[in-house]
Amino acid sequence: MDVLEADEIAMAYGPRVLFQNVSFTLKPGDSLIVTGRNGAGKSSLLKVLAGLSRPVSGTVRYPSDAGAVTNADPTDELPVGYCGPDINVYDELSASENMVFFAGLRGLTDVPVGDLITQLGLDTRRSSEPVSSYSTGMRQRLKLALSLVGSPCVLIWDEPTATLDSSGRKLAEDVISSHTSKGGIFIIATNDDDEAERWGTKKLRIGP
Amino acid sequence: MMKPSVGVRKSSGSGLRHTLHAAGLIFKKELRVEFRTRYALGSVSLFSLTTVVAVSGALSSQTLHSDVKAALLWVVLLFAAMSGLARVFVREVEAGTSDALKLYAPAASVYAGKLLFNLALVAAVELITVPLYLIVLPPQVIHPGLLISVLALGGLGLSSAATFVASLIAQAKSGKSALFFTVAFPVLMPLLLVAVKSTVGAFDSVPTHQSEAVSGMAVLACYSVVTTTAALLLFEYVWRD
Repeated sequence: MDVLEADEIAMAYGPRVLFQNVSFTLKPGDSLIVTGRNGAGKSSLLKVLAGLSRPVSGTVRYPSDAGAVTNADPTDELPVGYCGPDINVYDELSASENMVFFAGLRGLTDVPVGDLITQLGLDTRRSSEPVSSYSTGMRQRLKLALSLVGSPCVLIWDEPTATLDSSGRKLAEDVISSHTSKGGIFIIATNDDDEAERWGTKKLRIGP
Repeated sequence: MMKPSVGVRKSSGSGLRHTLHAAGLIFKKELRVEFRTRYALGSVSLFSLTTVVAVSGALSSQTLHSDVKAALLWVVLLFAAMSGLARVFVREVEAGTSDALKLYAPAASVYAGKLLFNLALVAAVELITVPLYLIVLPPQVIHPGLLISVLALGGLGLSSAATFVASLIAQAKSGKSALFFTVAFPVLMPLLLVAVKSTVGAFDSVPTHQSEAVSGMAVLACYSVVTTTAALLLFEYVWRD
């Protein structure tokens, strides 16, 4: 199977239903833009797709050569790279140390850390400094670079450019087009209409 | 950028081997972060030092039985260790790094890595506290082999149970410290009682105390095995939900 299928996903916090009956299929090279007003549940949907939250109902099936992989499987076994505002790297470690640590957790030893850091425009001279000394934009670039570790076939980015400058936005756009042109699947939540128009081959609006 | 991979994790070996490798990485990461911040070691060292000095200052003129000395030693060890043990999970949740760990590491490796770090922390607490305690409140007799065995087994049980409780309370919205002590207290109480009883045997030469210490060590070993096994089985549910 080489498509990503979301089937009848519903999410609720207590009695408050965020969304329900969300279904879509993404083929290799597709990029899905998720839009909706603040609080509609865009981030919640992306966390479900990344395996970080359990939906109330519904199933997500991921592209896999190794049999059926669904969101019921352990999160670390999903072929997903995720970057969102509520996920952080270790402040006490440097950018390189963070990348090597997380790659090692996935059993990867030959990750081109330097290339990934450069690709997202991080200053390689500062890659050995602790992340606590980084600006918000630099941290975001590092988190985006981290989502690329292991070249996962599904990339999920939640508001990726909210804290990036114009060059960072351009780099993010380059990564998106490079990933989809190689047959990867992209899912992005954004409030930027311009990004939604330019980046998505498919669109999904959550809420009214 | 490399070609996107369609498939699950590229593991460097079998599932168990990968889990052990990831646990080792998490343990090393914990040590590296601790050496750079010195948060846990600093707080437990200070707690140990001040408590032992306060106890010795208050009781220096008293003649204490070995059971009182054993109880005091474990009270100091327990509270010194508890002041640092919960940090392993609370820090991850507060810093927003727990989701990153969920994305990259097998759940069992997270528990194992954190347990190894807490074991190292408890060992450090014991290395700081026990020699100091034996200097300021020396017992009549010391059976070093017995004392070291009780401290090792007690430390293992304490670390194992406290690590699991820490993973439970880390998800709480507030009052994590109070919750940690509240939940950990009934879980650790049997361990504490047996550890004190066994330590009495290491502090005197009464034959019945010696035999109680030996059987107490068997209980401590069983406690450690049971808590570690239960934690490994249950941790995935706690970690994901």
